[in-house]
Amino acid sequence: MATDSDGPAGTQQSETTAEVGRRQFLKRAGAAAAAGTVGAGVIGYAATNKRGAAKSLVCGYRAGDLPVVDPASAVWTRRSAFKVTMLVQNIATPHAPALVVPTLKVRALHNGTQIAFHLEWADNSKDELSGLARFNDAVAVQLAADFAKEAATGVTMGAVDNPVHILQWKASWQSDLDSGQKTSKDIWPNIYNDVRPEQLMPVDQAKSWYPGWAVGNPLSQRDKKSPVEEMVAVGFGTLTTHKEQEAVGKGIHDRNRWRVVIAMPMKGNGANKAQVTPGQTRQIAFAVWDGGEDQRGSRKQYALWVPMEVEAVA
Amino acid sequence: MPDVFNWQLDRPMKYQYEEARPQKQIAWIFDTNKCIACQTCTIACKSTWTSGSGQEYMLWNNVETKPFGFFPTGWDVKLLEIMGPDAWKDGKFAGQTVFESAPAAERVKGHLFDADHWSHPNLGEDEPAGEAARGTHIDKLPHDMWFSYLARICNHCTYPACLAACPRQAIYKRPEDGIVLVDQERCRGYQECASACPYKKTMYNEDTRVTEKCIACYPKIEQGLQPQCVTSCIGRIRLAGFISPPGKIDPKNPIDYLVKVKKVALPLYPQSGTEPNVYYIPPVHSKREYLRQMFGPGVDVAVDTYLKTKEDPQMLGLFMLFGSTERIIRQFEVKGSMAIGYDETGKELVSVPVTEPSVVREYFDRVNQTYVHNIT
Repeated sequence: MATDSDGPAGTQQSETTAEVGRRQFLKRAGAAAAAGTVGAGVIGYAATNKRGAAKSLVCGYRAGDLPVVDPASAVWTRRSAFKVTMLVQNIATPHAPALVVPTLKVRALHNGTQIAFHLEWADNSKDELSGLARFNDAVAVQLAADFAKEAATGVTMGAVDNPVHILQWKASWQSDLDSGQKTSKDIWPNIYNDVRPEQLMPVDQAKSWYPGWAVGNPLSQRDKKSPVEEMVAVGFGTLTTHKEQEAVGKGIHDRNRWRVVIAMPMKGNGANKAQVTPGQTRQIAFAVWDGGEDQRGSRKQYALWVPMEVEAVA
Repeated sequence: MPDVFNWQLDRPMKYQYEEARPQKQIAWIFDTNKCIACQTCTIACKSTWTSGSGQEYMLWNNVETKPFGFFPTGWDVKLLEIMGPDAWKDGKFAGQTVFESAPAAERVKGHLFDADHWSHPNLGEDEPAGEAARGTHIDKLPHDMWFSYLARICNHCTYPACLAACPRQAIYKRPEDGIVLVDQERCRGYQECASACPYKKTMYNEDTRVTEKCIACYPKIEQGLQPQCVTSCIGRIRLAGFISPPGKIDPKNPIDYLVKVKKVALPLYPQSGTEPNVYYIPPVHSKREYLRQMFGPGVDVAVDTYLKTKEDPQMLGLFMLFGSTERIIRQFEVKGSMAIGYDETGKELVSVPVTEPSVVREYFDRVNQTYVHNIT
């Protein structure tokens, strides 16, 4: 069970609380959810919040390069976080039995060409390997692909006429990038492989022994350039990897929490990518998976749309 | 959930999707009485499809000993545990299937085995159901002391639990032959299928991070050939073909003849509700109660019919056609002393004698002055 924790000690943070209305909703949704959220809200409110609850996430403008591969950067940690209340996904089957990540802290910045999200949540276990009955941690952001249709776009991963653009960071992909592609040998150090196909022949031929890899499944590929996968969806169960992968990011796990940055171009290439313009207010949603609690796919926490004010370029 | 008809339960049941039977439904007959657990099928499958890294533990085909052998460990014990006691009334299933008993948050009542369960494929091999006392004689059917072999592949179910459970429809059943496949491009490794399959025949690949399963050797099926596990079987216990939909019987179709006319071959744990399409001739020497638990209420008829095979030239002839050709036998007939198999165009594929010529040797070898043992 994840617990809520505040940011690094010593940094001056202005914590925003969840909206009261949403808290009431959660209370009705389940006692566990309510307990986590109210507890978190009280801590944040009593400790730091003197200005009242912010109703929207502010995506600040910052000229120059953004710290997109440094979640620990002071550029992020000195910025106040917007607290997003997470709900257990229980609309589509199958769903997780309980809410384990009640809150996600979000910070957002843009530099006029790139937009980045800093996502922080409490998780005592770092689950970065996916194996038999074993799942990895992950987090995702979601925007309506078409800003003009945003009001009609459902938070439940869009619909046929209202696609959503989803960017998912995976702990497993981060691990592959940080310390090499993980295989069954990493999950079971004493596993015996007499020889791996790629040791006997060129990789192009060896791929035939790895069906997912051979047919181009993004999860099976070994030449990852980013821990973030860009996808399009038109409803539950329709998640499809985008042909144009442009997102970058980085996740680090320390002090019983994940801190993850997901960044994308504000004008991405290809159809069905959210185009973000400075000065806009647009809706954004989030999802979090705790692999250690067997969460994957539809077994997750999600958030309702949150308004995000994208600051104008100064 | 829509209502669909499950002929093995003899009643409608709830399923995730509407009833949509394929144009042809692949099916197998496995005669457990002839299986010696040589694992030639297992190796034929393994060397054809799962010799890569990440597939080490996978046995799309396996042969286990009943009652104490399993792959994965305890799969059927766990299935019976979550399904509760059998509830058959006059040949109709009165209990709840894995779909009907699913909790609100799930599509299928299942469970996910961890790696320990997949690590002991030969556990319980050749272990009998009880201890033999000194001087025990096995002289009647069913035997007091018994075990039997159960060869297992994916059942390519009519109502696959794996397919129902996949939240992104990455599993599909081919309309042309009913083969159930995992789309290797679309699967995201959630393992919902592995949790749902009552027979535990979908398997996660830790190197590609997506799930794989028996593909019924579809490249062979498409050419009119039987799968590797069938054609490699040295005991000639297997036959692959196509079963007619409920309400239709073609007595010349070998699968229909054994399943629907003679009712000698039965589905495994039909109470799961998936309408599995591997049909087993039950092991006649095993305890009846155990067989009823495994194959449902049709066991007594199946065993009694099988024991009279030698009085039935039609059935005997068909058994002789098992393992006689690599091609799929769509029609068969017994003419005089010969059994003949035909393809879908009516062309003869193979003919075999119903009774093979045999020679009885003298048990005493006069030349070498020794007794000759019958080793068969």
